Amino acid sequence: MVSRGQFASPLDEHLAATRRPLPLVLTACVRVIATYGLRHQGIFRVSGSQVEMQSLRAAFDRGLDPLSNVRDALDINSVAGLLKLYLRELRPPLLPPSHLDRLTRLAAVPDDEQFKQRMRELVAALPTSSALVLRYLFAHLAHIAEYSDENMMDAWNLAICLGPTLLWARGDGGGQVAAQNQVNELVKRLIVHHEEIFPQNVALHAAYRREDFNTEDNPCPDTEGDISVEAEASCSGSEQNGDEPDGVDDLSLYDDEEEEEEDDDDDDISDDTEAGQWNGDRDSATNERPPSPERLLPAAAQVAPAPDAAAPAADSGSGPSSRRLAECTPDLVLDLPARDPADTFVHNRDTLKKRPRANQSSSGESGAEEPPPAEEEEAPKPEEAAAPAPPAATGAESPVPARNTARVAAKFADLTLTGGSLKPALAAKPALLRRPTPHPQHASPANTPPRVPKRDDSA
Amino acid sequence: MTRPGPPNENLPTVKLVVVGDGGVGKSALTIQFFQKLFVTDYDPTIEDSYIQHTEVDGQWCILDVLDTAGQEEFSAMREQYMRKGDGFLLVFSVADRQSFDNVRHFHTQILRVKDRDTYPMLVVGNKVDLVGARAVSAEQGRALARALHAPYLETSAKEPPLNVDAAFHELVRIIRTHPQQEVKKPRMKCHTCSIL
Repeated sequence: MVSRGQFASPLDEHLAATRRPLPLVLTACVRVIATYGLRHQGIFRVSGSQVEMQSLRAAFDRGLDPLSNVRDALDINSVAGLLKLYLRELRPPLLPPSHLDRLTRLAAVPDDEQFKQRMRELVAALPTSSALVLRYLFAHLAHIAEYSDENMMDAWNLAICLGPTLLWARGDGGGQVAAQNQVNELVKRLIVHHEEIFPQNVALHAAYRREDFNTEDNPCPDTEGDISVEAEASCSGSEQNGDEPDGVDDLSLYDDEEEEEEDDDDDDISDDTEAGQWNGDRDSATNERPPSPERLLPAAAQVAPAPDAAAPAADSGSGPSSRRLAECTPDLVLDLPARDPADTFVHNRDTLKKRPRANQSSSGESGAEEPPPAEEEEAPKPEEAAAPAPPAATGAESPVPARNTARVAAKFADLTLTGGSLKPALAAKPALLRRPTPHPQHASPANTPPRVPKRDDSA
Repeated sequence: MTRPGPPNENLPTVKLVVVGDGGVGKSALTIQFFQKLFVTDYDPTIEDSYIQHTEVDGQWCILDVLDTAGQEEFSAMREQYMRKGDGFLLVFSVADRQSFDNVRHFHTQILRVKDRDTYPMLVVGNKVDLVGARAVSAEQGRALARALHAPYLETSAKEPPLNVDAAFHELVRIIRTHPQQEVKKPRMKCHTCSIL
C-alpha cells in the first residue's frame, strides 16, 4: 500500500496513505491483546521475543498486517512489545517531549477534577491524529486494567511499563527516576480518567469499542475474531475517505461549542450509513452519547460527572484495581516461618543500613515533589475508606492489609531501601520498601556515610 | 567469632546490578536477599537500590545492589547503570523461555558498555520452585552460562529460598577474583582478562 518503512512512519502521513482513522500497527496489536491477552499475566510487562518483534515489524514496514491471522495468545508478549516499540519509535511522539515539564507539573496536581480539566485543555492542543490515537490507546489500557485481578496489571503497573514508552523523562541518575515517576503518575491518571479526559463524542469511527473484541466468556472463538478483522478491513476501505477531515474538525473543536458537537454527531451518523457494519451498530450498542454534550464543557464535568459515560469511566478505572488491593490480594505476603525476629540477620551477620536522607534534597525539585501525588491518588477511590489503616507512619489510607503492614513495620522498621516506585500501596508500607529517593550512586556518591541513624518516620 | 559485627573502618563498596527481562523475579531475589522475605507484589521496578554490610569469606564489604527495570523501554537507563556496576546478576526465569534467550542481550550489552571481553557476571535461573512450569532445563542454563563464560546458579526467591544468598555472595567472589577488578577501565580492549 505504502512505501517501505511504514511501521512507525509519521502518524498523519501514515493515516493519509492508508486512509485509516488509526494506525494499522495500533489496531492490529490492540485487536490481538484485547481479544486474547486481557487475562494474560504481565501483559505489557513481560518482555517479548526480540526475533518475533523484528519479524512483525518488518511485515508492518512493508504495509502488511502480520497479526490479522493471530487467533491465540502464544506471542502475546511480542505483540504487546511491538505496540510499545511502535509507540516508542513514533515520530513525532504522541506526547510531545516539549510538553514534558507541563505534563509532569500536571501529574502533580492533586485535585482530580483540576487535573482532568487541564489535561483536556492539553489534549485539545495536540494534533488531532495524536489525540485520537491516545484516546484509543488509553481506552484499551483501561480495559486491560479492569482485568487486573487476573493479569496483575492495574493502572499503575501499566503506567510503569508504558510511561517511558510514551514520554521519556529527561534527567540524570536519580533525577531521571524521579522525573519518570512523575510521567508514570500522569499515565496512570490518564488510564483511570481516560473517558473524561479524551473527547468521547467525536470521531466515533476511531473510538475504542469493546464490542469489537470478544473478551468475555469464550476467549478465542474464530468467528468473532473474523468479525473484528472485517471491521478493521472495512475501516480501511474507501468509504472512510470522508471521515478523516471530519475527525480533524471534530477534535480541534472539541471543547468549544455545543453547536460543533451537534455537527459532529450529524457527520458521524451519515458516516454510519456509509460505512455499513463498521459503524452501524455503534450507536445502538454503546449508546453513550448524552442528549446534550454538556460534559464536554469544562465546568460541567468538574461539578458533576453526571452523564452516563462518566460513571462507567470511574467504575472501570478505579473500581476493580482498588477492590483487588483492598480485598483480594495482599500486597505483601510475609512468609516467615518460625524465625526469631531477634535472629533474623544473624546467620550471615549482615546488617542492613539506612539510606541517607540527604540524598533526597540533592535530587532537585522533581524528587521533592513526589510524595504528594502518590498520596492524593488515594483519595478518590471509594474503597479506600474501608481498607485497614496502616500504622501511623504514612498517614495515607493504605490498601495494604493491616496485618502485613504492622508486621512489616515491626520487623523492618530500621531497614530502608531507596528507589523509584510511587505506587500508593508501596508508599504506604512504612519504611519498608521503596523510597522515592534517587539512587545515591548518582546523587552524592562521595559522601555517603555507611552508617546513618534510624529515620524517625519509620516508627 | 572474632568480630561481633561489621568493622567500622572504611569498607570496600561492591556495586552489584541485577538485570534480566521483566517479571523474572529480580526484585524478589533482591528483597529476599536483603530482607529475608518473599514479596508477592506484582510491581514492576523502575530502579531500586539497596545497601548492606555483608561478610563474604571472612571479608566485609558494603554491598550496593541496584535492582533494575526489565522492560525494554528502560534501556536508555541501562548504559548508565552498566557503566557503574562492578558485577552483574543476569537473571532469567526458568519458566519463561524468552527471558532465557534474552540473557545474551544483556551479556552483550554489558560487555559493550564496559568495553571488555569478560566481566564479573553470574547467570541466574530463577523460579526453580515452579517445577511444573519449567521451560528451561538446568542443563540448558549451564550451557548458556558456559557459552558466556560465567557460572550458573539456580535460585528460588520463594520460601524457602534457594541459593539466594549464594548468588549474591558468589558474585562478590567473582568480582574479587576477577583479574581486572583493581584496574580502572582500560582504554583499549584488554585481552589478559579472559582468564576465568
